[in-house]
Amino acid sequence: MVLLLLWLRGLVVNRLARTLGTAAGVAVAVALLMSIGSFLAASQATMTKRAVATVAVDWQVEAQPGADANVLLAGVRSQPGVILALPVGYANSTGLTATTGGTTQSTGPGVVIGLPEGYAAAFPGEIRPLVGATDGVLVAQQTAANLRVHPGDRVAIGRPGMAPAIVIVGGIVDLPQAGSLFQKVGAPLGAQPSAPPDNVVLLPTTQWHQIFDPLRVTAPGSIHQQVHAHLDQNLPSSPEAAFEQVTAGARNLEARMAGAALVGNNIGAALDAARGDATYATVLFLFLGLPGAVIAGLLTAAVATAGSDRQRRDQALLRSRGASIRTLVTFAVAEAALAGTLGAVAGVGGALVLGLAIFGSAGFGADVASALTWAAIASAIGIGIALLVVAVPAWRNAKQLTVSGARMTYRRGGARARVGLGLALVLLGLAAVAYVAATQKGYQLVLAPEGVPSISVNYLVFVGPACLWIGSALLTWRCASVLLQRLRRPIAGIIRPITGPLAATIVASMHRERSRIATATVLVGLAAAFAASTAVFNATYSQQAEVDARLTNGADVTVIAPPGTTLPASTTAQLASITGVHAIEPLSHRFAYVGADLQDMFGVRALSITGVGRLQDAYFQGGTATEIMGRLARQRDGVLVSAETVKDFQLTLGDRLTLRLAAQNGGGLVAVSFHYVGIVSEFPTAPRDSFLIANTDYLTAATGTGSTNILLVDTGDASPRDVAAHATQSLGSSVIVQDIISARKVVGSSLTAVDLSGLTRVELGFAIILTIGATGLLLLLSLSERRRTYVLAAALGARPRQLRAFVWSEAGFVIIVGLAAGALWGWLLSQMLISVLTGVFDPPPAALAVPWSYLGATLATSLMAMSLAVVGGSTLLRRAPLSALRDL
Amino acid sequence: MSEVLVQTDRVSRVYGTLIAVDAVSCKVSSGERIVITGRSGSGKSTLLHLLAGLESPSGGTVVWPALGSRGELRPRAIAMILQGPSLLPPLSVIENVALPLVLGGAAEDAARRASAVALTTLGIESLADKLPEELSGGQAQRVAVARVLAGAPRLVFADEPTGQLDHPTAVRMLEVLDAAVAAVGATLVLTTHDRRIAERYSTHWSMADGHLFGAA
Repeated sequence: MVLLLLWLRGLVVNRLARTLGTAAGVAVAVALLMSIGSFLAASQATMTKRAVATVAVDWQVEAQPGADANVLLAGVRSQPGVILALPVGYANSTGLTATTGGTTQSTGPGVVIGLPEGYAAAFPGEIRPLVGATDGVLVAQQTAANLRVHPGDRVAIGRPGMAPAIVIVGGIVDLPQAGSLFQKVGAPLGAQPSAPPDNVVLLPTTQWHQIFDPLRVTAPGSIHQQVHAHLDQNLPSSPEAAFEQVTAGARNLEARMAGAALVGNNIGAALDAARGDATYATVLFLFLGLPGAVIAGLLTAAVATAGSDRQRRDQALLRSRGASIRTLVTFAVAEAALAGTLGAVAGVGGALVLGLAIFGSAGFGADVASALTWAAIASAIGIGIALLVVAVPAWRNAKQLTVSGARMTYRRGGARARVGLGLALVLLGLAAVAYVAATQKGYQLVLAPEGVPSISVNYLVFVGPACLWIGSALLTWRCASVLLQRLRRPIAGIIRPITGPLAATIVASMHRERSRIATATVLVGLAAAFAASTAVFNATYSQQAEVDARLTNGADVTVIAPPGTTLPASTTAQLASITGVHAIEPLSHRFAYVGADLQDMFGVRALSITGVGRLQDAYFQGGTATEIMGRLARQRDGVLVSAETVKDFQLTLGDRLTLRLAAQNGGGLVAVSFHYVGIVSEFPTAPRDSFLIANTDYLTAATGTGSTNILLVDTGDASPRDVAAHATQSLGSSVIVQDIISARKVVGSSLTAVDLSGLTRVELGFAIILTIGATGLLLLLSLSERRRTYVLAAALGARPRQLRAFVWSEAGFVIIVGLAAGALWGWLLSQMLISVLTGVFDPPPAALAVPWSYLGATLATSLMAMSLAVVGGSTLLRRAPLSALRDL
Repeated sequence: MSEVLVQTDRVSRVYGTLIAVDAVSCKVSSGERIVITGRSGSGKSTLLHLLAGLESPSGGTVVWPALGSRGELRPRAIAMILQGPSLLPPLSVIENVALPLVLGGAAEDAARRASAVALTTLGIESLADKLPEELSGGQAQRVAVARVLAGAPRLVFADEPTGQLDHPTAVRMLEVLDAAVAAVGATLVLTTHDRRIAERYSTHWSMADGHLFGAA
């Protein structure tokens, strides 16, 4: 024990640089893992919370025919996890009628719901009061518009086989979650969701029973009972676990009710969607975070290896003085534990500071348990890395050690140089195969079948990036080694203008040090590739999120006429007078039948919309945006259709297509001939499924109507939010004004909503730290380990500039070859990542977004780190006394 | 006529609280063969480093009247054989021998040719392409002597050149060194703590606790 403590003290006193270097590498790995892991946990918890928050009624438990509603209510209330349950009645009405302003309006069939007192307060997301009372008889907004009723008006509710019941409207409400409220409970998996009814009236329970209880005898099929339940929101933070919990609970309830009830699991459906995103987030963590941690581990290994020659000599001395292999290994484990523990503590501390600085929370927004778990996991991995890079090589050396062997450094390097090329080529070939597979049709990384508890991840796709990372590292090592081995003369020729007659000597030295130099080159290349691929991926992700928001909103600001109306011509002039409005583009929206399919149709000005709508090439197939829209502009009766339509109707370019168009004023259908001129897959404001694009002029001429009902506004450099506020003020509430900034917050999956920018900042920061480590730290340690060479050279008469020539030549080789390799591998990895993670992009990118400023900053930082290491290292070496040789 | 190559006047070297060399005055003239003896830690190596211009004095002065300023001494005028391995690990034997010449501005080819001649002179041309890690202690010191021979310096300092060799090998090594120094007409200052080695030389200085004895 005393000997061990002496050894550790010696490490701290005499080998401090190496110990701290190893600890620093471990710290980077620990901090990176903890940061990204905690961020992942926080993101998943956010996804769960957001998914749950979107649900107004967690369970809609429907009584099956013959079931006792009271027994059902009691059963639901006693179900574990249910904190509130209220009975709700549903009745089908044959139609609604109201007489207002001297006219009588009638609707088709509708649904009348009976709600108990306190329902609106219990399920606040279900009913949004608009006008009048918040209780009593409430009419849905669309129904009120159809019947033209206001609070105080009378509505006759038609009943099958009975006289209509008259009610007095108390208020008008919006039903934001009508889709789930009127869902068909127990619909088979994969069934299309049924559209909510057009006509809805909400009644107090007592009144509902008075009106519809008689139907239990005369028309029992027209009424049914549900129990709406609110669950305890204390769910597991992971969407997957939360989904499993609520789904199991729903099944348990159905089983307990023995066929008397079916559960409409709204909260389960919301979590079902979120768990796919959560799995994507995990995959993103693996793809984007793991390589960084591995590189940090390799950096640690390189730092530890920088002292391996001396370690071998130390071990040889200990062996010659009688130390057993066990003693040597114990010393090495102690050294690893010391460096690993120091690194883990520093890494956890660093991550906490990072979390506070970037996210305002030491745990990156994750709860304490998750943050502590990730701190423990990251620390364990960090200590594992230290053991792997310090103790394992020491154990291996100790087993093979001879005193003369311990002196051998350069001959071994030559042997290692022969390894790796074949393996590198095989791995790169596998990566290419995986890339091709990922770009094939039907490829899906995460498959989360609706309602099925398990999610399948196509783990084969990890093969591609993994092979590319390892293959690129091996090939870079091999290439750097071969360059130093076979191209000594050309390299000497390149450096001769700087080094003078020393060129051949320096290259000879680099040749013997090629194993060490190639390793440093690989690390610079990997760090650069990590920085480049992460930055490009994140920039492309942001770019596509922007495109998604722009597609949804249509433009910076979009002005939309209410359904069934058009925008007056004066609207454009009013908008144009607002400061910040750069350009305005009108769209004419209507519907058209393609065969039996009803599709959205947009009338456009083909040439001008390309700019204002910022149309992307990826929106079209068979040409660029400019080409396809130019084709439409030249063909007055041209029409762009979806690829699905082309396939369904076997269309070829130039085919004549007759569509039935609805007039904008709701009139009858008009058959109009078009010529198919191209394929469109995305368009501003267009839905995700099939739609049509044609020239507005032609549509107007062919149908007699063609007024504008959407205006796309380009705000240039002005704030879309400000312009939208001014537009709302100017145009009043008769139109809908939307801006892209608000759209960004609501579009996309919960994954995009989690906001990758936090992860981006963490990763890009670590990428720079790794690059600095790979350039500066490694170079400095390498110089430190070769002090003997430089001190001897100085003793022989080497001038400072000659010593610097040695150091600069090596550093220059490492940085130039490393960064060139990093740029190449970074580009390939970006392509690979975007291909295999294509599911997170919506729409898929047409081209990679390259953040030149970040890459420039990374390059500048690495050059600066290298320069500081070279200048600092050279200065220290120059000042080292000759007596230092005794310690080397 | 002999000229003074290096001269000190009350030169001292202090490391922290340790006075390694204490007010030493001495001079070395051309053609001399001087051996400095003393126990380990007596200050021999430090004095040699001061005389070679490798370290700056803490007090007193060192001058090189016939050799120039301190910055001009190495690699041409003064050569150094260090205690222990003094070859650059990543360079081959011939590259090590050629290095002082290249550092002095010689063309690579010319330096290599001169180095090859030096190795041949010492009979170790077969070691030319070997790395220092592949040499024995005696071979490494011979290569260090070859480096002296190739550089043809005027003043050679050898710091315990036989410290890690057995006596017979040490004697052979010194024969080689003496021959090389004579061949290039250099002056030799050598340190040792081995009396038998010291007896080979006519001029004896000794050191104890940083003080030099026997220097005129």
